[in-house]
Amino acid sequence: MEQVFDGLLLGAGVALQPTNLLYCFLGVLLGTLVGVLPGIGPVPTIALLLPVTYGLPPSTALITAAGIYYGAQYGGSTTSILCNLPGEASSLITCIDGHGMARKGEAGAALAIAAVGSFVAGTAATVAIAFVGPPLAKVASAFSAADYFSLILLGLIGSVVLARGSVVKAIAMIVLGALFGMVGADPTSVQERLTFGIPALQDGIGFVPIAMGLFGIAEIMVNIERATGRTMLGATIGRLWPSREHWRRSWRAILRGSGIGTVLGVLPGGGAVLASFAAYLAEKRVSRTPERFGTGAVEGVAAPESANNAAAQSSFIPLLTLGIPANPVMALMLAILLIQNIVPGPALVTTRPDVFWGVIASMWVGNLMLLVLNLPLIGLWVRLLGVPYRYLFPAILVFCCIGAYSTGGNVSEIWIMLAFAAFGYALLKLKFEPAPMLLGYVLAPLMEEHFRRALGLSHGDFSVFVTSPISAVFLALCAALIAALAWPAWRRRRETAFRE
Amino acid sequence: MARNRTDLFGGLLLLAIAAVGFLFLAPLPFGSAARPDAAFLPTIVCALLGALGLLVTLRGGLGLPDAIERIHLRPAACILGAIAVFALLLERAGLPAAVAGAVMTAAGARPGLLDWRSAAFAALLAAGCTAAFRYGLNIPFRVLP
Repeated sequence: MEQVFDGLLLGAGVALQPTNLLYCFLGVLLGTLVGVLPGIGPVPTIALLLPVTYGLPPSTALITAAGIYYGAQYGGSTTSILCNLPGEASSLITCIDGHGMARKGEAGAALAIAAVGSFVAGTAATVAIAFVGPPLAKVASAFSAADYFSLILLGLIGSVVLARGSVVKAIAMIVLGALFGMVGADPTSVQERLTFGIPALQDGIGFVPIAMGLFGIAEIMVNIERATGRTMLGATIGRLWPSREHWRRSWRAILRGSGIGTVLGVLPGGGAVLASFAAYLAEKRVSRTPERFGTGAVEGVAAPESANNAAAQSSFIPLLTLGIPANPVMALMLAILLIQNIVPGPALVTTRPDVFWGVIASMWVGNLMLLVLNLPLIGLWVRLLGVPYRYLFPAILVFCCIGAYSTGGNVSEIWIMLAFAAFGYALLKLKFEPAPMLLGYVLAPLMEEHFRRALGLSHGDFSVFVTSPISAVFLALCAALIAALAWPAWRRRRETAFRE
Repeated sequence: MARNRTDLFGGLLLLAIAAVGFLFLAPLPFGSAARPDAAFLPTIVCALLGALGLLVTLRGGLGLPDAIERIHLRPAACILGAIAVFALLLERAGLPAAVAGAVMTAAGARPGLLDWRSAAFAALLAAGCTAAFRYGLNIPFRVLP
């Protein structure tokens, strides 16, 4: 308890430094902006800013990137409510009742409830990280190489359960990502693998070109095909302050959403999107008047908007304490830390308490900024939506090119991005979900390192993975997950859940 | 004849990637379990990918019918072309030319977008990007050809 308090105090000292306050502000502002604009999300934005973070201290870099992530969750709700157009996938479900409220002339109240819910959820998740993080790091510091290997394997399989669509295809994407992650010089013998003689691939495929190609450019290609021109709904925002009835209906939903989001954010493959859907469904299930959902029920805004923000923050727990990213955004955060020569993991809380606690404290500060910033600026955000896509997509495209070039200072990074854009487009057409691929790509080098170390220590004895009790438990969980995925009844339930 | 085309072609794509992987990993030292070498884990991963590819391909033959969504060549070519134009012009003609070239190529993605407004936007974005990235963030871009 005392340790948490001291830690938060230290963190507040870091977060409240003028530079960090400024970067936190810029982060949440930019996050809200990309959250509002459909077609560009936190992944390409953070990837684009990766080169900028080289020159920043590690805590400042992470504070900025975190601000973009949870800021995008706030921004996403604005367009969902006002235009029935989710700025972010995690705000998709908010469209249903958020826009329903807007049609009833309660847009202002919906926006305010979403903002307040997000703030409450952000606070709850911050507290959860502060209390759960350090003890978890202590447990994890006892892990051996074999334990780590099995834990990463569990994380990867867990992400399949939560990925949409076909299970086999999701596993294939992870395996393919792992193969891409192994391109480049072998970490031990420095022998080149799968580089096809291309010098730019000697250090491996860069994270930025792969992320931007798959998520930034491929997305644009699909958007242009489907775009029918955005129609702005002339909804009046109405009174901003929610009525007593709104508060009465939504406070429980906010608390439940915060809880669901905090828990689901920690899970591998989890994060804001899954949390928002789960919270909405849970709210509908516990409601005494489920028929109101879909027609503008305030709980249908409060629960998912709280949950996505809570999950955005709690997904930092596995990254900061185990060094394992739970979703693509966290994979980017890992990249930011690695660039700064900081290896996140159980030791982070003791070796770099300023980074660990600084980021946690900044989340609360950032959430407060968002609350203060967002409600008065709603008019501005809405006006931004008037920017036609014909100007937006070339700009995003150019930013991606500049981002890819500036990470390596080399044109070949742009060509690699182009290749992955084409590949990502083909994957989307063939109904493969590219997100698990990025997770496999990021985790493969870590996995290989632990795999080789474990086998080296055991002199080639594979039983090390089951004789270590911790590793055995993780592997048993992997087996249970695979069995559950193959079980027909369970598979049907998973499919129904995604359809809902 | 295959019924599920997304799975059939998806599976074949995975098989092809696994085959290329095997081919290029073959000359590398494999090592042993006690001393896994450069090709050890990548070969296992390729084998796994091949197996999954086979499974997806088979499902394509047996699964529910599913057609591949139409591929629109024009937007795809223009977007990818815009990136290629950017890459080709950047070190030869400088950042402003690369930005403008990319914007104009991308504008071809949809009919009717190649007009004076796109040209004006290209000029504006070229100037803005040069100011922000070359002079603001000090990224060493060439400005003039």
